[in-house]
Amino acid sequence: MAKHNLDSTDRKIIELLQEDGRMPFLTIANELGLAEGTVRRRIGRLLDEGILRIVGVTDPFKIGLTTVAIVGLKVERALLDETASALVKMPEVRFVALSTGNFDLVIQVAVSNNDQLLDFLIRKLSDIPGILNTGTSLVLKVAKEDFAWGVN
Amino acid sequence: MQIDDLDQKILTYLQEDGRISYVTLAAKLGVSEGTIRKRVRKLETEGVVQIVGVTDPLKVGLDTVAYVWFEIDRHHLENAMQRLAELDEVRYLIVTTGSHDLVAMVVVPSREDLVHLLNDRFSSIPGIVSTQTSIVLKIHKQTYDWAPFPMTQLAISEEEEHPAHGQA
Repeated sequence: MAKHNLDSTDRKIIELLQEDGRMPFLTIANELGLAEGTVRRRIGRLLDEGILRIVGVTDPFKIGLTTVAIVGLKVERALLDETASALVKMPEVRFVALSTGNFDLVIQVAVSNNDQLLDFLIRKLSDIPGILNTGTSLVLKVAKEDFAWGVN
Repeated sequence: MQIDDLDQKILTYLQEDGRISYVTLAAKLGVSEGTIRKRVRKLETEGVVQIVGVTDPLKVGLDTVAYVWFEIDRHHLENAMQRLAELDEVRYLIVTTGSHDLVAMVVVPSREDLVHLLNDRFSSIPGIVSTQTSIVLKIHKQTYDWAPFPMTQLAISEEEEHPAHGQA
């Protein structure tokens, strides 16, 4: 897998895109003293290998998804992969991670209201085999959200 | 800020590809390029959307991602929140209900750095009563598309009106 194979040029390019995802290739090229084609090629590779994605990140609270929760799930070992795949397919699930500790999976869920969250927890999660128990932390306020990791 | 139908459509495309050209967007949505430019700027200024490059931490050598659940002494909640938000290693921090008060997502280069963060840096913050840490072994899904309607639905309806697309 593509890992640790970022050189300092890749990292500088990523750093600029973390500030402004729409920065023109030419501006990046000038900033770093590279040819525009080099910048284009490198960004293409980073995107192809799934190292980088350039996206519009919306604030869920500002577009009507006012109920956001982090849910930890305890899952039956033998069904862990299946459970994770089922969760990945659900559109209201934004993040799925396999983890150690009290929970086997940690997910983030965003819906429009408490009724939908209840429906998600009670009905949709019950349809997935293997989930033993869940702990739900309802997000009251996002104190920080920073996407600029991965280069320093 | 009131988000109208056009804003929603713009957001949906940007969530898919943050670098989609304004000319392409204008053609897809049947408005002028200037309108798209103005709308995107407004959405950015109002904090509705940030167009950014996002990396998978586990693919760029930041090998340790963890969720930390905090129990905080009520009197120190505001202060503890501020102190935690100031730490570079803390990438996502929320105030929550339930058996814990704060939840943080932390990203560090190694297990050793995580130990240092938990034992030394967090312990210097007053009010932290207890922590519970889940180390992320693998990220199965990481999306930023919060749009209340799925992309596919929009793509189909747009397709009918504008069968040709993809020009830069």
